[in-house]
Amino acid sequence: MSKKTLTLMSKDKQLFNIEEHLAVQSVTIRNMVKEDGASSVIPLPRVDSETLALVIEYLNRQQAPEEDEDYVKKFVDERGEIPTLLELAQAALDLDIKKLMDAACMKVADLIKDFTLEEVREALRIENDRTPEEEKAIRDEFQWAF
Amino acid sequence: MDRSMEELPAEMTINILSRLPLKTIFHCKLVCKKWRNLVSDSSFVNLHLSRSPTGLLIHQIVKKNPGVFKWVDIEDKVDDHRLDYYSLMSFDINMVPFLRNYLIDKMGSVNGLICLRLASFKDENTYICNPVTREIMTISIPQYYKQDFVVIACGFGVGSLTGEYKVVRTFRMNVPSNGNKIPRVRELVAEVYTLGTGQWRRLGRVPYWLDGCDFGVVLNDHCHWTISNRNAHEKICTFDLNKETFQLFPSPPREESDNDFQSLAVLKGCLCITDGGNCFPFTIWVMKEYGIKKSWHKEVVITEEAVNRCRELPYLYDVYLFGGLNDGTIFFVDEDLFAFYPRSGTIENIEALKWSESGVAYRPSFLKLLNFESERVHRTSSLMMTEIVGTFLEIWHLWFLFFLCHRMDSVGRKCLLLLKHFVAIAYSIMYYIYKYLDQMLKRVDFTFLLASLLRFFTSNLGFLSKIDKLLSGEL
Repeated sequence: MSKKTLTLMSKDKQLFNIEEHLAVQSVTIRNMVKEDGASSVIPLPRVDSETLALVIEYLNRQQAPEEDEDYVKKFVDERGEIPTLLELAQAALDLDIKKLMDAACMKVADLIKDFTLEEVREALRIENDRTPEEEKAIRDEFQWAF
Repeated sequence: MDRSMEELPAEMTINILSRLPLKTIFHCKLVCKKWRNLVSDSSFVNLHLSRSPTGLLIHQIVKKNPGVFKWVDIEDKVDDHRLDYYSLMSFDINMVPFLRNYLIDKMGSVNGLICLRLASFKDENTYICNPVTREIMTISIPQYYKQDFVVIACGFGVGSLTGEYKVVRTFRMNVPSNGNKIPRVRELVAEVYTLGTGQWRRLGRVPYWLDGCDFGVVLNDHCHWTISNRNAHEKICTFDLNKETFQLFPSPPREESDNDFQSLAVLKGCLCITDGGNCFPFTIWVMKEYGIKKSWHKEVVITEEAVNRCRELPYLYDVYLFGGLNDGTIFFVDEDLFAFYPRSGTIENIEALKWSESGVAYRPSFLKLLNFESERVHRTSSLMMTEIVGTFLEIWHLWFLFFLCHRMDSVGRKCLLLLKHFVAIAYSIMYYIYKYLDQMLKRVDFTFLLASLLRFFTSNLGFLSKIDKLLSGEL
């Protein structure tokens, strides 16, 4: 009996093949397969091809359960760039792969842990939507924490 | 890959934020408005709590009562075991007007909330505090407890089945037995308070004499205390936070010559107990498997030499053991904070946290006390406002009296007499309004404002008597 394969399509229309029993680690894909058998291509309109390639690599891992934890940690460690990690976490969230999502978020938290306020904003490309006065007001309120 | 965090879903942001150290989370509140709101969100609060590591919280009195809470994280990785002083944060209890000048007697902590008891005969002397959200809750006057009862032991914990936070306390009461001729019998009675219900419930007689007035150590939904019943076959009693029952619990095997058990604590997730009491060797027993008597073993024996090598000696008399690291280091409070390192067999006095009165294992959390229905909760920021108003009124009043003293003629006297009646009436009206509002709006700080107004009229001024003195020309 040949193993059934699924085809996933990224945002930029690239196709990726993956065996069904591996793909169903994603709760989203599992539900799709249950619903309509998923004979055709599964589109993932929010995931770009680079990130999807990473996700596929993750899903294809062949680790013994006891080594899995370490593998996942190493997997995200090797992709220690914050933008890549955020994309990966976003994809993991969309596909509902909890382990990958947690690991990616943990790595991001680890990286920004010692950042200053400005560094956090820069690293995560967040615009400061506060006026200096508002910022000062909050700073005063939580003065004890700074 | 050009995307900012703001576009990212809240779930992810919460996932990341909840893994950051407490101090960084406060910094992150400043990052953008969305992040600030997320930190107040209940899903963040719960996720953060589930990941919040246990650290140490100490109660420190440097200048005056009631002192300061200080807490630090514990860094406990494979090759790195220490207190992380960078994470040191504090909460000045002097900021809370109604605790000022009182001495905090004992405290217990669960899920970032601290239950504290004052060493005073104040009617309301039990409070719940979250130093992170800066909230403080007054536990109402016990219904059954009376002033001549002696509070023996307390407990504060959460039952995982119900998710209810409970304060339990036991007190000694005298019960007349069979008429008045026979001497009165003493009984230990317990009452329990579920946070959010606003009232104490009586649990009846406790079958064992709980030791001292410590907060019970909480583990596996039970509070644990040592007991002083000489003939009981076990020396530990537990209170089930779900079922609300007291039961004997296996204690370490003992010989006649052994010292009495002294303090309980949780070390690395296991119940532990010390014996000693100013004599050596000082032993720490650990129960490897919860509830299994055979699993008790001597984990550490602190010898006299170890203590003698320490620069400032611990007394080892009133020891509060409250935490340990994976490398075996044990922290205890005994006037100061000490660390015992079993590998080198030495004790260190931790200078950075000197003057520690007591300490507890503490997991910081953002749990909001305001979420408990029908409780009186104050935030320190609003309490400060009340203080300012109160001070202003006091100044105003002094000025007014001064003014009156200089304008004493017959008209002034009449005015004063009128004022006297007016104040007397206003005072009683205020009192009833306060009482009424207190019942109706228990959660609103406004009642506290009124309470301090009332205090201003009563204690500070001695208003009526001063007017009397003025009228009789004494002033």
